[in-house]
Amino acid sequence: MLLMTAPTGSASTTGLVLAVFGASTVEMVEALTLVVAAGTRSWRSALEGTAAALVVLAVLTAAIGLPLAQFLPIDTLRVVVGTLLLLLGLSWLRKAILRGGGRLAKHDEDAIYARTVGSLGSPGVEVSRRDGAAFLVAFKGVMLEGFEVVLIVVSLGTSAHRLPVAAAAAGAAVVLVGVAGVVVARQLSAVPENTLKTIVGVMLTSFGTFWVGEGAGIRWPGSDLALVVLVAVFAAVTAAMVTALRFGTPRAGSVLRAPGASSEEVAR
Amino acid sequence: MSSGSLRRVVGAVGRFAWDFFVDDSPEMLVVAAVVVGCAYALRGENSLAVVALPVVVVLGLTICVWRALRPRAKDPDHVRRTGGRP
Repeated sequence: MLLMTAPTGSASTTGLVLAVFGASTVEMVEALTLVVAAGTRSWRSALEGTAAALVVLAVLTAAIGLPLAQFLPIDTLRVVVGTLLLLLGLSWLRKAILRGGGRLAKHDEDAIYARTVGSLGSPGVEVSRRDGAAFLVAFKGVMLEGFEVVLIVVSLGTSAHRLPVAAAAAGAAVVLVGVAGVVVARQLSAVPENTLKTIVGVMLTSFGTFWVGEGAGIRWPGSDLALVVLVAVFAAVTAAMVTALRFGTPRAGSVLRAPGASSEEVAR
Repeated sequence: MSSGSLRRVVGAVGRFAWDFFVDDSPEMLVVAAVVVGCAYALRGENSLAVVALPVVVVLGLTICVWRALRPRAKDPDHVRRTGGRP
C-alpha cells in the first residue's frame, strides 16, 4: 500500500492538504463573521474568546487524534474515519448542490453579521473594555465552526498517518483567514463559500469512500491515484446535479428554501 | 457525578452528535451504513467493489438531494397548498 510505504509526495497528501485547508477556510470565514460581530461590542473580549476557543480546539485535536492514531488498528480506524468523512462530505455536497441549483438560500455572511450585531445590542461604552457577551459569542462561534475542522483534521490526519500535516494545513487556513479579516476589517462575504464547500464536499466524500474501502480490505487500482478518479467522478456527478436543478422546473415553494431544509439550515 | 447528571450529559452529547452528523437527513446515515456494508460484503470481489462503492455513494447522494426537494407534510408551504396531505 502506497500510503504505508511512501510517506511523502503522494496524491493523498496533496488531497489531504487541499481538503483540510479548504474546509478550514470555509469554517473560519463563518467563525470570523461572528468574531467581527462580537468585536463591535468589545474587540478585547472577542479576541480573547477566539484565542481560548483555538486553544481548546488544538487540545481536542491532540487529545482525540494522537490516541486514535496510536491505539486503534489502522483498518478499523480507516473504516471509522471513512464513515465520518462520508457523512460530513455527503452533508456538505447535498447542501452545496441545493444551493448551487438555486433550491436553498446561500449562506449570507452579511445577514448573519447583522443579526449577531443586533442580538448583541449597542455596547454603549468604548469597545476596548472586557465584555462577557462578546467573549461568549466569539468563543462559541469559533468552537462550533472549528469542531468540524477538528473532526476533518483528526479523520484525515490519523487515517493517513499525517496528523501534523493536516493540523498545519488547518493552522495555515486560520492564519490566512485571520490576516484577510484584519486587512479587510470585516466579515468575508465575498468569499465564494458555496464553491469552496462543493470542492471540499467532493474531496471529503472521495476520501471517505477511499478509506472505507481500504479499511474493509479493498485494494484500489493505482492505490492513492484512485483518489483522483473518485474526485473526478463525484465532481462530475455534482456538476450534473447542479445543472439539472438549475435548469429543471422548480416546484412551488422549493426555490431558495428546500422543503426539507429547516430555517436553521438555511441560515447555517 | 450523579447518574442523573451523567444521563443528561450523555443525552446532550448524543443530541449534539445527531444534529452534527445527521441533522434532518437521516438517509445519509443509511447511505454511509450501506457503503460500509458493501465494502465488507464485496471485499472478496475487488474489481466489483471498486466500481460498486462509488456507484452506491452517487446513488445515495442522489436520493438525499431528491428527498430534500420533496414536499413534506410539515413544511408550511406544503401544508398551505395541500392541507397537509403527503
